[in-house]
Amino acid sequence: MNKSLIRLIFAFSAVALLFAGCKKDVDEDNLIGRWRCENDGYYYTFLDDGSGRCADSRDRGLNFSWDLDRDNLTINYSSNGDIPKPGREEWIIKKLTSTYMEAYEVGLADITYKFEKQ
Amino acid sequence: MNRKAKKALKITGITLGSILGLIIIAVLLVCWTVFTPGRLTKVANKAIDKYAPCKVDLERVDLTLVKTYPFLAFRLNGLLVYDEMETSPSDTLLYIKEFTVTTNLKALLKEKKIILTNMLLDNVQANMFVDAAGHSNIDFLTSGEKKEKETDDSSDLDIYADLQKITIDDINASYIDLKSGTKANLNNLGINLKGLLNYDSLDANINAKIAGVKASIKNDSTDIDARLNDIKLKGTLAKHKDNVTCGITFDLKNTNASLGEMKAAINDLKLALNNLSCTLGKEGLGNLKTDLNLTVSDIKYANQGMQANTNHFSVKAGQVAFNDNNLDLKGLSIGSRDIDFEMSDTVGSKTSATIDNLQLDVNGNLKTDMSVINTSVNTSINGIGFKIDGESPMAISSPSISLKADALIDKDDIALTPELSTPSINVNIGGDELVPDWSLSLFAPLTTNKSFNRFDVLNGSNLNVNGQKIGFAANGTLGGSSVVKGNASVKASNLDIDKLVSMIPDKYKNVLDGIDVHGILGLDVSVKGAVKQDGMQLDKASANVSLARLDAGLKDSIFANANKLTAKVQYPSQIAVDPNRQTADVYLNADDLKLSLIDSTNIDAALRDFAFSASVVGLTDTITEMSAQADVAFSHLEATMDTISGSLDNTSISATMTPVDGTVAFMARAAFDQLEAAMGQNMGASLSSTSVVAMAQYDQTKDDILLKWNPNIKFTLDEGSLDMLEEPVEIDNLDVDFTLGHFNINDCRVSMGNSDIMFWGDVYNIGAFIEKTGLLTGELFLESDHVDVTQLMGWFSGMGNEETQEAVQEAADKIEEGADTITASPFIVPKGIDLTLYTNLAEIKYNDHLFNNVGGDVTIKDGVAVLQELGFSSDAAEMQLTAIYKTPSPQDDPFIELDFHLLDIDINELISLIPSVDSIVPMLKSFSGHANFHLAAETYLENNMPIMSTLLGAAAIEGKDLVVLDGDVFNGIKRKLLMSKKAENKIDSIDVELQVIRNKVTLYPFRIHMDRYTAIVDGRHFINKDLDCKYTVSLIETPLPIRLGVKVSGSLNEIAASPIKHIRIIRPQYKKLYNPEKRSDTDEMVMGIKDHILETLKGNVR
Repeated sequence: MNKSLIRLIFAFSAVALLFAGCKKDVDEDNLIGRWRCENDGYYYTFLDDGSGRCADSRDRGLNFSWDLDRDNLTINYSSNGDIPKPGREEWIIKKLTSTYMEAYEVGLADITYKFEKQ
Repeated sequence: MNRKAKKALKITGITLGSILGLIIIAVLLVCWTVFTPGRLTKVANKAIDKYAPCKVDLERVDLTLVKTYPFLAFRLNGLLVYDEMETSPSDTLLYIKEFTVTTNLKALLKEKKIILTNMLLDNVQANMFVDAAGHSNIDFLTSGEKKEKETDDSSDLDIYADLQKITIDDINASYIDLKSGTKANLNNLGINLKGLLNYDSLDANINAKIAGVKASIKNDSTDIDARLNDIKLKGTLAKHKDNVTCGITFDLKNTNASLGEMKAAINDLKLALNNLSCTLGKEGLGNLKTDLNLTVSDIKYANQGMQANTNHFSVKAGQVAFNDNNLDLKGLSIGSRDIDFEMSDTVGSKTSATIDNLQLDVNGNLKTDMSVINTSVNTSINGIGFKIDGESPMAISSPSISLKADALIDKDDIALTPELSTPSINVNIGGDELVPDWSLSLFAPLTTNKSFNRFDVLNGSNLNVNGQKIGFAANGTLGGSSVVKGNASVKASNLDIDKLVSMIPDKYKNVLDGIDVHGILGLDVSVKGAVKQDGMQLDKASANVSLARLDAGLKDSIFANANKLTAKVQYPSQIAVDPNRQTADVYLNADDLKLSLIDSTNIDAALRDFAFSASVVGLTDTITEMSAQADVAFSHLEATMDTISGSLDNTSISATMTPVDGTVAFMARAAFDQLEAAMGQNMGASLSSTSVVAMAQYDQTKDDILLKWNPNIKFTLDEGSLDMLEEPVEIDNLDVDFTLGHFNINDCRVSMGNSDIMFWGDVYNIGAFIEKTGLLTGELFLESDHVDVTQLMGWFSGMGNEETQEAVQEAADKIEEGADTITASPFIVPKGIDLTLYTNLAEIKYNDHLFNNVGGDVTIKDGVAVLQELGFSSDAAEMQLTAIYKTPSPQDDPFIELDFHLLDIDINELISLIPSVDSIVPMLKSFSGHANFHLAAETYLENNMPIMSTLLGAAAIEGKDLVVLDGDVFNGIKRKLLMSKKAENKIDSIDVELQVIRNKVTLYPFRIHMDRYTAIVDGRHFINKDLDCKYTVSLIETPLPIRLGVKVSGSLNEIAASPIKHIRIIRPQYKKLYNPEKRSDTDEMVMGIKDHILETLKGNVR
């Protein structure tokens, strides 16, 4: 009984670990570049040094730093001014190719943002 | 008649007299010895042959007693003296038809005295001739062999005269001088003298007449011709001892004279000297007295295009007395009628003058050496006309002119008192009537000396033209180093400006175009100086001008009125003393002066007791070398401009101008006791005792007006008020000093209703900032004990609405004109400025909130405006605000950011203070209690609206033990909600974080926990056209068996229209969010963001 119970627990744990490991890696190289978001029309630029910029068509926008952990893309916007301000977005990348990306913001999985590389 | 002719006549007379004497002697001798005419004639001819220097025939000599008894008469007949000069036109030098002389026979016989009693000379012809070589027909009298002298009278006879009658009749003479071209003829001279003539006395009646006299001199240089006709002389003559009396009348008719082109003619001349008396003794003539009556008619004179005529000329004298070099004139009257004068110049212009009547009355006395003269002359001229024809015709006419003149000469002193007057004079020049029948009078008493090198026109002298009287005086010297040197003054007290203006000829009235002046003018001008060959030298001058009832206008735009206005110019200055430069003072005073400026904006000003004075040094210097001081004062000023009105009391302004280093430095002091000003019905100002001290240094090389004047101003105000709000803005004190280097606000205290403000500080480098060579720096301080913001906002609310409406209308107009967007100009923070305003407000009242210790700094530095850490504390909260506004350049978009914190604030107060919070967190108004509120945001601006791509912000609300619902209500429903008995209407804590990035507003999940219930709220909305949103409420703990959530999504308009349609039941979310041990990765990331937001915002709290 105890063995069976232990095996069962192990089996569930294995399954759980398997699902837990469903987070998939995305190719960071594909992220580097300038993207246009179809949803809001802004242009996102990711540089390979971890910096980037989100701006409108007249390049008016905000600089940021980014970090990609597997499919979790963290963006920290930096202030254009002198007073520190928070500005963090957590994205989950659903699909990333060299020319196309789909992602949603954490907590708002029902809105998918689509990007095309420029 | 030349000297040679005179000499010849003299010699001739002497000769004839000598011959006559010899003849008489001879006749008497012959008569004594030989009584027969034949014998007497023979004896006489022998004597003539023996003694006469020329050929002489004597027709007959006789003595008679019968015809002339009791006198013995000696008579010559037919005495002919031949002219032996070959070139002489006549062979007769002298012919006497009859010469008779009688003597007292008794005295002759008894006393051997020849006493002549009668003499008759009849029909005499004398001809004198001088040839072209200058030889005269009487030269034989002075040249050639000299005849033997008259032998001495060996007899004892003495010759005496006791004449009773002298008759000379038909005397004719001619004189011809070919050398000098002189011709003279005397025709029919007759003299009849009856009376008594002896050595002791004379008492006779005289009748003399000449039919005509002709004389002419014509040679290369002289052309003289004169004709006198019908000359008559009649009179009485008496002399007893030294006393002489006589009465003479002299008539002359048809007299003509010419000298070259000059011609003169007199038709009739009568001279009467009646009652003439004098003494004639060894000491000569004395005590001469006579009256005089001279009348001349038809005098004509012509010379070189000039003609002068008068019908009548008379001289009458009641008495002329001469004694011991003293000449007295009484009742001397000179008159003339119908005087015509006409003169033509070489170009044909004709000048003519007419006088109907001229009367000159003279009284006075004088010494013949002119050492003393005391005369009074009255001249009256009637019917005057004067004309000049030609290109510039001129005509002057007057019905009458009166000239009175008293003259007194005493040794070297001369005093004249002329007084000229006319009731009307008309002057017309070039067809323009310059003087239209004005009355005119001139009174100018003056003293001088015989050398005329000094003069004194005495006070009281005046000129009266058309009723406008001007007094004047002058004194000084003539000659020497100056043409004229001395003093002069002009005075007038009541000149009617209307009349003066009307006296300006129409031709020159265009000078006054646009100028309209009325009033009474007074003048008092005095000058001391000299006129020299090289110009005028002014030593002293003063001019006083007074204007009464002044009413003036200039081009219908500037008007001035004054009951009394005086102006004075003083040269040299009595204030600014500088012996090496020209100085002057100017004064202007007005009791009541009103000024109006009529233009697009009308300005009216009224001044009382206005006084202006100025002193200038260096009148002839350039402006940069000139010094000046000016003072202005008035007791009261009232002025209006459009809807602005104001008044000033007891104002004084003083200003100085001095040259400094090639520029001009100015200093001005202004002070007044009271200023009242108003704009419309709602704005006004009142200032009490105020003083301004301003200095400036003018540098024309600078462009900016401040740099050009380099002002240094000190302004002090004790008390004032601005009446522009519901209650006056009271200025308790204002004390500022301004220079381009340092603007120092020493003190500024203002009270506005319940609020008071103190303001002071320093601003540096204004000049360098303007010149763009330096940074404008400064520190300003604003302090207040109490500011009632609610009151102030109530007052200021609505102010400027008109401008706002105008701006809206302007924008609408632009859109109508097709503009797609309206571009609003942003406020540009200037560069080159480093200014900081430190605020410290002890107490601010806003609505019912009272804030304490409100303080912070406002810094403007190089295009950036920073409101730094503005904070306060109150019963409701403590606040901290930092705001930054940047305008890097006009081409760049402005950038604004702020950091705002309300700490420990009552939620109700928070919503009251910031109503928009209720919109962001709608359920907040359901709570009561204290919370912390943090907000930070930034964005670039376009048209004063955020550029969404640059919008970054976050807000957080922290609260603990928040009360929900009223306690009684809660107790009533908590059982229905299956809450425990111990349940309280409190939420343990709330931590709301929201973040704005670009157009996304994210409300991160927060928990609301009460008793057995726990809910999680989160959401997002987009700042877009539809304001799309999605909010969820998840009930994660409940005593109920099921746990559900609610999602509201869609656009706000759609949700508002049909809320049920947009609400969906969902599975609760974030169930483990507040269970750290069970959080998912997503929960961790959410909490990470929430922590990041809160910590970052709280990190800005000081």
